[in-house]
Amino acid sequence: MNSLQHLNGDNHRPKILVAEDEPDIRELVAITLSFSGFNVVAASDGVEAMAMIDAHSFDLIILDVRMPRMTGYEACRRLREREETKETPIIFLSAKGQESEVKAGLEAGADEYIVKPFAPNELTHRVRMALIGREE
Amino acid sequence: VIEGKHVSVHLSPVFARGQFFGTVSIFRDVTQEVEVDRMKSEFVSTVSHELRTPMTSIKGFAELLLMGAAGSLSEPQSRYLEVIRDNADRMSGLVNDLLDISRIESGRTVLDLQAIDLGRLVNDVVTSHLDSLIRREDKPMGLELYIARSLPSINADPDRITQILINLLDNAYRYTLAGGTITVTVKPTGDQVEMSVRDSGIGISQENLEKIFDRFFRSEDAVVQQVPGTGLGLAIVQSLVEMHGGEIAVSSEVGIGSTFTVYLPTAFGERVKVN
Repeated sequence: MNSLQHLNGDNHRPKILVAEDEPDIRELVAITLSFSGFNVVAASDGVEAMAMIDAHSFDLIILDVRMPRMTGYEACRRLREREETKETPIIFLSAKGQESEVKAGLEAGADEYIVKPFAPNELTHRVRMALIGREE
Repeated sequence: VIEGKHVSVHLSPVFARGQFFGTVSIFRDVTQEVEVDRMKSEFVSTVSHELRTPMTSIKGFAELLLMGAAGSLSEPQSRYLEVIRDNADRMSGLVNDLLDISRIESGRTVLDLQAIDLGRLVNDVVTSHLDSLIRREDKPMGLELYIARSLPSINADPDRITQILINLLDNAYRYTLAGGTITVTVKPTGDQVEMSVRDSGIGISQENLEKIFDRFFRSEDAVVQQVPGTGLGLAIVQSLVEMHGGEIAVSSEVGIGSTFTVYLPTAFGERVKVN
């Protein structure tokens, strides 16, 4: 890779993977984060997300909890077992917001747990916090 | 539970001419009632979660547009989008209330009890919450906050106490005209700590005072009808207070204002507290 490519804006923007089975919400998350300057790639379930993670590296991963084929919990568990994604910030998105559910999500290895419906600002803020948190 | 059936048993002694005669025992099979109850709360929980997904899109895309993510907006466009967003928020509030009440009723709400400093919690919540209300609704309101200096700690779930307080503050703010005053007091009384929220609002009629803790009850009053609400807030507050072993009382006068007072028992481990 030449130095010019390094200076290219795209390479400096944190790369985020979003796995969400609801097309509208997937688009909402992708647009929100792109608008805030992140480089976003989307997957429609856990299996697709794992395949993308095999091929590329990401600075942060957002997982919907309830997805067909592979749930967000299962994907998170597998990511935490892998050397290259052991430290990658993971954020859960979920329609379940009871304290016990949030706690279970964080215990499963996620850095943040965002309850639907969320405000785009809140999503961006939490993504930034998670990215900063891992850098320190 | 007898042989897989839920049975309700009611016993009462029978006296005749001052003498104990025997006992009447009534056994009633309530299996179906228990099952219906379980199905009802399961239904509420499923519907609530299913509602959250479309609400996420409605709220999220309205906010994206308001952020200017798809270009700049005219004044009416912004205003209409704010209406969409605010109503999506209102609907999520309703879903949260429904979930709360169904969880409380089915006994699935578990308190995370710990010794807490109620004065500090009230101080933090009241100031920030009222500030955000005033900013959002653009309706000025005076605040008086009295917190007794030496308060015993209480044995409570801080998240739930916050929920109780926010509910009472929201009501006080909503049902008080601009320029009114909300007074929040925290002080010890006997072996309890008392937290009261008083407003200088429209007040509650004697007749309605008996019903305000009922689920879905809302006054027919025109001012009340204008304020969005589900009629679940105070039912939730009362249940949460009672789960803490506390009590809630209300006094009100139409046109003068209302006072809601919550009594919470002090922590058992109080003497362990280091001052």
